Amino acid sequence: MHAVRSLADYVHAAQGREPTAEAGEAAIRCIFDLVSAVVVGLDAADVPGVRRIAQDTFGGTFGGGSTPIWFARMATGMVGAAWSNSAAASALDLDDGNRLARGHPGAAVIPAAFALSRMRFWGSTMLATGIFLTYLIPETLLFIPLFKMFALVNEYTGIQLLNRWWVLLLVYPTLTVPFCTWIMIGYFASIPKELDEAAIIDGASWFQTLTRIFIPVALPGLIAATIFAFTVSWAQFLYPLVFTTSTDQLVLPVGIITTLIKGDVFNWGQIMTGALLGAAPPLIIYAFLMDYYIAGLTAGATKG
Amino acid sequence: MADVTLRKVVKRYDEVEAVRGIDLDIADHEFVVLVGPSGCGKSTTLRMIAGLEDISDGDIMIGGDVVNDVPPKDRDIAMVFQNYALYPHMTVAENMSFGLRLKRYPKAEIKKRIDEAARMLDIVELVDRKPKQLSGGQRQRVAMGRAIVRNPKVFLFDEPLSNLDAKLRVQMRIEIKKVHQKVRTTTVYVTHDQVEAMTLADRVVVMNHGRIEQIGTPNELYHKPATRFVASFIGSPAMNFIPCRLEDVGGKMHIRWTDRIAFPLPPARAARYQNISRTDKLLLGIRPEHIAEARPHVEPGIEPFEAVLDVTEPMGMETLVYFTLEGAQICGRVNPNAGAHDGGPLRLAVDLNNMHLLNEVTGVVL
Repeated sequence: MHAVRSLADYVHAAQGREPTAEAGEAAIRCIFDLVSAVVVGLDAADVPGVRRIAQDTFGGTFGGGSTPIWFARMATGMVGAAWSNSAAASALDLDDGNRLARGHPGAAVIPAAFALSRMRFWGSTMLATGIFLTYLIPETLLFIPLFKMFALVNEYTGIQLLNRWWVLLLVYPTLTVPFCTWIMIGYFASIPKELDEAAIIDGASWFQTLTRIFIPVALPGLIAATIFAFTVSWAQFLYPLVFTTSTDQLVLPVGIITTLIKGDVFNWGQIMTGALLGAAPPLIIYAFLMDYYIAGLTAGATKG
Repeated sequence: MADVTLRKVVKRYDEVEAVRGIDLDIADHEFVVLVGPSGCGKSTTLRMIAGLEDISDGDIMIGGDVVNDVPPKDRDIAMVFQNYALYPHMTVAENMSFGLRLKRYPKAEIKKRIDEAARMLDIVELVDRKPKQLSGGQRQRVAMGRAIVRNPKVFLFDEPLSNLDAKLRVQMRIEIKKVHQKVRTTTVYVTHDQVEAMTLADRVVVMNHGRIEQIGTPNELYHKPATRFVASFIGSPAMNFIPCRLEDVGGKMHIRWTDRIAFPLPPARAARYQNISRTDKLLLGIRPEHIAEARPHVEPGIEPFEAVLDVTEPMGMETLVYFTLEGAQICGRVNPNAGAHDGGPLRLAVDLNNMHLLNEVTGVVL
């Protein structure tokens, strides 16, 4: 409770301000508060596992497999990171648009959103709506055909797709790309049309307009979309539950449930350790980018 | 530096014609203002010159070359937008140099041009700031600076002063005029404000419903309007239109306003209007400054009449008086000491030497 309250305090403090050193400091303090609250809470409950957090986590005893679960989970979380890589890299390194074209799944989002918000072509409105509609199809509806598809691929090509954690890297973009494209269409549409007209008259090509005007101006929106993509990928449960089965391929949320709960025996210490490991990265990311996230949400909605 | 020529330029949006065949010759170094009410096609015309809109029909030439299918960046034009359209993530200097950097100009040359433009616009101390740290007037200067450093063939202004407050607008108007006197670049300027048009332009193009109503110097438009639209659009307060007809009384041509009021026309006017049918429904167009308080001595062509004022508006240097005649509200400008007050009678005089006579049906000035 303490942690939740202080988080809210910090958000209030950070709102309506430019990203500053103070806000960053506040964010770090916020994380400290939260972590200490968890640790204190565990201590108070006299959970024996607390003292062995480090040992459990890094000693490979977690789940008993040779590959620690958290490691696999981290790797899978890179879907979100891949998105942020391409977006942030091209956004921050303005003079090198080539980074956009490195082939990350996220690299599709920015050009797609740009085209759909600015270039009027036949069916562009329908396509934009279609992208959003694909996001509305629930994953619970999709995992069975996806499973069958992976099985078929295996049958015809011999490539093992089921029970491989890296396959999740291919699956998560089906959730993140449509929604992030949709967010970015809205954000790009909120940028005044005169801005790209000015760029065009200044002699910029479409590509230069995108890399040198749109991406920097839409940076808050990009960060918001990146955070979203990361969170969705990180917290994903159903797909890893279905597509990965053996302990060495499991990811954290699924691993906690399937390996640390045995019948009516709950390994509380290890479960709590896993929960902390799962909660910390998004928290850190949110805390540091909170200002951008808020700016992204409001600016995208209201700026005319 | 170049001349701009429009030949029968048409812009169609599906079934609607926004611009209906415009012919316009803009000479080198000339400052031309397109003016008209909103929706008259003036901005569309400007955007077609810029290349931001396709041309449905006709030709646009810049410097003698047809540019119909030339993309904006190859037309060598610079444009200043109503909302400034500065790049928010760049400093003033970066904003101004963006076009030059894209064209890979040498750094020294870019710096020289920015310094020059910044000095001209008095924004030297602002070059390292971001647009959001600037006031509206400063942003507009930067937008102009961005156009100047490019040293283009043509400047295009799209209602650049509309977002500024009234005082700043007057100030920036003078700035724009000064800049044009210094750089002498051919300029096309769009506005809906007739005062801006009159004060800035070498020639004004009045547009309405996608057509050009009249082209002329500010003074020509003011004193010799071709149509009722131009007559009423140019000048503030607007020209009065009084229903009237011509009649001959004792061999002299008279103009009759009401059953009671009729005046003999000055000889020059009488000769000019001799061939007009006496039964035509006509409008007398008379500017407010030509309806003033009656003087004691008689002057040729200045005819006194009595009026009961509805409203008076003291402006300081003059007082505007409003009264009703044959259902039409008439505005006059009198001396503040003439004794005008709301609801009171006043002896006014109309200067028929400066009258305009219009056909009420066609709106053409005769």
